[in-house]
Amino acid sequence: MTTPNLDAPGQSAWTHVPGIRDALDARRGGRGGRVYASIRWGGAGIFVLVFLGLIGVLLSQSWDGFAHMGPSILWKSWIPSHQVFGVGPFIVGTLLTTFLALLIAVPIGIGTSLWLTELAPKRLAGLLGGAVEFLAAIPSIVVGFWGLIVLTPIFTNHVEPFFKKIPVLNALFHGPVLGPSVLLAGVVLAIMVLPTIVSLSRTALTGVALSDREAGRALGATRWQVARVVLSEARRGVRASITLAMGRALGEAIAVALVIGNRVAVPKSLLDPASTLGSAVVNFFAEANPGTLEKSSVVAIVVVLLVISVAVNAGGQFLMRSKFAGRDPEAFPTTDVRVVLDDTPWGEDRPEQRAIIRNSAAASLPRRRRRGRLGAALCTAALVVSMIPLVAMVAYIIIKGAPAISWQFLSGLPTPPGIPGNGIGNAIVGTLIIVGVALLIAVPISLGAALFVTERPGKLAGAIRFAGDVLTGAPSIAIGVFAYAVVVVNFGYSGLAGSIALAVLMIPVMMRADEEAISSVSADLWEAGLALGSRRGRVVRSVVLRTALPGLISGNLLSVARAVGETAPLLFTIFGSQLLVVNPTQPMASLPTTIWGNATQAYDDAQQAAWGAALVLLVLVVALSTIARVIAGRLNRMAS
Amino acid sequence: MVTFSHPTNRKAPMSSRHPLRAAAVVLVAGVLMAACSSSGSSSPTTSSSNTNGLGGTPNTQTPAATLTGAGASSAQPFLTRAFYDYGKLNSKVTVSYNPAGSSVGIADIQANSVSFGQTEIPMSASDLAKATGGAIVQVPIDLGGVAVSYNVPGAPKNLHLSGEQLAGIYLGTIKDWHAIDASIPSTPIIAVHRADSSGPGYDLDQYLIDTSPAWTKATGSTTASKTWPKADIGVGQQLNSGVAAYIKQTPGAIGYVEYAYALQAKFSNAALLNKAGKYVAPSIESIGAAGANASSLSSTNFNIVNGAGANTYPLANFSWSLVYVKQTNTNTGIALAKLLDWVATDGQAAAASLGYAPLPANARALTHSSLLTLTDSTGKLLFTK
Repeated sequence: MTTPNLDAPGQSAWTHVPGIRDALDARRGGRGGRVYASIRWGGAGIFVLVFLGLIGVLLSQSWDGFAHMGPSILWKSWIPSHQVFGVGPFIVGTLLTTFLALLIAVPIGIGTSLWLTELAPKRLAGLLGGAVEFLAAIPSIVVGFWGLIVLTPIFTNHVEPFFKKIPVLNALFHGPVLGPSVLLAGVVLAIMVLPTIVSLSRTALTGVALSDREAGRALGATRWQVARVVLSEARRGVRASITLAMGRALGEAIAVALVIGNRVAVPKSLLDPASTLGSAVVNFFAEANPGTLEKSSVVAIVVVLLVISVAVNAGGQFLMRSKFAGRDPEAFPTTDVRVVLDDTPWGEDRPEQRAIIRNSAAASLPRRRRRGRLGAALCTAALVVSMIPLVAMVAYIIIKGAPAISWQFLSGLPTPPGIPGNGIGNAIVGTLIIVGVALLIAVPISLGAALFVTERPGKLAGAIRFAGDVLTGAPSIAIGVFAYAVVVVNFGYSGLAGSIALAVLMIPVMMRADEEAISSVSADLWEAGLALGSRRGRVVRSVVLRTALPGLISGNLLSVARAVGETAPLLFTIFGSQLLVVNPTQPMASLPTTIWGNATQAYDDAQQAAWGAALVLLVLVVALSTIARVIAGRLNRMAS
Repeated sequence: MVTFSHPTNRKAPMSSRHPLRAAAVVLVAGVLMAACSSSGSSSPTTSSSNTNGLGGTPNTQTPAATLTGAGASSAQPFLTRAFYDYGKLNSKVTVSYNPAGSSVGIADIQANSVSFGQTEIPMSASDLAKATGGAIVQVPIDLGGVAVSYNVPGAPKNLHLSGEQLAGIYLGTIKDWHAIDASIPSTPIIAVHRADSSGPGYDLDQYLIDTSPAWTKATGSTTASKTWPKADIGVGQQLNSGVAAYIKQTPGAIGYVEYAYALQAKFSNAALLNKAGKYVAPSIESIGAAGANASSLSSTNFNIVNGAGANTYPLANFSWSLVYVKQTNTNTGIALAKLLDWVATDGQAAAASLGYAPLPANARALTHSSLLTLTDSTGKLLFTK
């Protein structure tokens, strides 16, 4: 028997137990088996096609840009008047802001999810956990304007001068205080990726078997010690959450562009304005005429962003594998990821978890309690910190948006500035239809692909997962470009084209979340299902997916919440309409494009309509997510 | 439900002005038609499906049509308002406008996937060559201006600025407001530019190229660019809204925004030195003067930045609609031409309230005469008058 390597992509716990593997293989036949296989292969196949199509479109559209610059594209600057289209300063800005965002969001996000799963009263956990996830539903442009209008003056007047006063550290913060800066962009990005980390980490933490917690408590571990064991058990999922968060931070465009100050130069200080690859794309895309070298170079920025996303993902995996191998198991569990566990066959001794208990048990009880209190305090602090932007932003949207809300506003059709009676009824209907169709497309594909990846460990699955991680880093405007080139050019503008664009955006995120939810199902349940003589597809359907359902729903909801507020993929596909349209093959209106169209106008009534529409969007997501949770709860109770 | 007591607010001066305007338009059109028929070898005949000419109110003889337009976001407020007003007069024509940016407007009209495109800078010859539906006419449809706005405590309301001074500010060679005007206490200048490619950026770049050798030397270019050429200094903010919000909250800041924004935000706007040597602040009148003083306006001679005239504001530009000469669907073509002609004339009534200058007579004449050249799929002219 060879030692299974859990670190190899595509491998999860239960497929490694040789007995299960054999049983799975033996139970493949029959019609049900064929249907199940076609779901998996179909999902994976469509995903691969979409990925290759996207890469193909982007490469062909950026070819001239790369040919013009050669390798110097990586270090030269962006000077259109001299026909120089290099992305050097953008790369620096992207890496800096993403690093800052993760530096802030990872500890806060993990602390928050630990608090929610291990320390919080159950009811409160559900409520607050749901609340943090709503942050994901706030459209980028709304976060951006909030950052611009509320955060920028706070940074100008308080935060940035404060950092300048700290001795030694202030070397990082020299130069004039302007407000928009690398620092501010990092903070805004941290706020935006926080829900991704909290939601997915929470799914992973909840998935840790109850017996592990009980074992810890039985050994006399404090609650905090148990929490640490649980965290180290769940690090696979925690790491997936960080990967997705990083993808979003790398690719976020509009919100960053509103707070980073967009200086096309390498920042010399964290207080300097800078540009990222994403913000450069959003800044230069809309006005670069088609077929020009400039346009091609803008698409080249997207390609560089994808390459960097590949490099950062691969580099992160390499770093974690080499640097933390064999390190003190007491090290912060998220940094050592699954390295220690990887060398240990599943089901045998788990020295790391035991070491945590043993080492801390060696400490005196008062000391352990003190540590526990400190840990709990840190987690509580993380929760409080992550709630602040949420509360502030939601309050701001309500204050700005509530005056716009009326029956006329919710049910009527849009009117131009200066004409009272503006309505967003067609946009609400449009968004519901577009997102609904996108869900119909994305859920089966991503679920099939996720089942493929979890069940068929190997190079292909690893490649698919990697492709997914890379796609999450694609700025949404790139998805818009892809959908425009493939769908709109051939079939014209339509709500359906928007649905396809949103589906492409959602699939990689859903795939990753589905995979985590599925692999958190304990091997015992698989064994039990197979032992009862069920076919493989049947076990997956009735046992695995049923057990994973809460995780599946919250993961999918998260990606819906993100997609529902996306503007760029819709701006290039649905066209918009002044009328109420319910046929998805026609041009349609949507809430995000309505917010965009109004927020970019000068007039007070348009501004108010934009905030009103943002509020409606938020309420819509809250409602959808509540309904989904209630359904999940019902199904769960029925199952048990 | 929509109420039908729509207040059109047609005041006496307006309706009395209109016949004159129409007369001028017809005159110009007539001259053009004469020129056309004398030079053309095969004189086109009228499309049988159309019995009425282009222009005139209330357009009730326009065929029903669903029209689409895409392009410049700067034109969106005015266009949606004009289309709305038109819909009140003629509910058979509905128009959707997608403000996805000039490049999308150009790409869409090249692909022939919209009824009209919209751009702030007319299509170049190479852009036109890529159009799949044949020749394109480009007609001015609105006239906007760009304000140079500032938030400087203690500064006068319409600070006088020359191109040289403005270039110094944006090049970082003038760093303090005190150096601009001795009456202002020492305040560091924070120059804000548009981070995204924009029409206002193009106009200001053109003005600085025209007026400041230092600027041309520093940017190394004598062709104006929609992408701000000195983005390596100062602060870049996205969209008009981004620039306006930043100016509002940052003492010492100066930036350029569409005039509508400056008007709404009640900013202090610089009076800029124009070609005639006068300092002129932006207003509906001074922006209108910039358009009216443009000589031999056309889609290849569209630049009105730093134009002639004592009362001309130097930062103004037209926004252009892009339309195929050959309209494959006759009814759609007639509806489109009538709509755009109306927008260029009566539709301008809403312009001033939104911060645009009403289209001057020279631009209206250009739009009207250009639309008269539209044909059906067989090459017959859609209108004879």
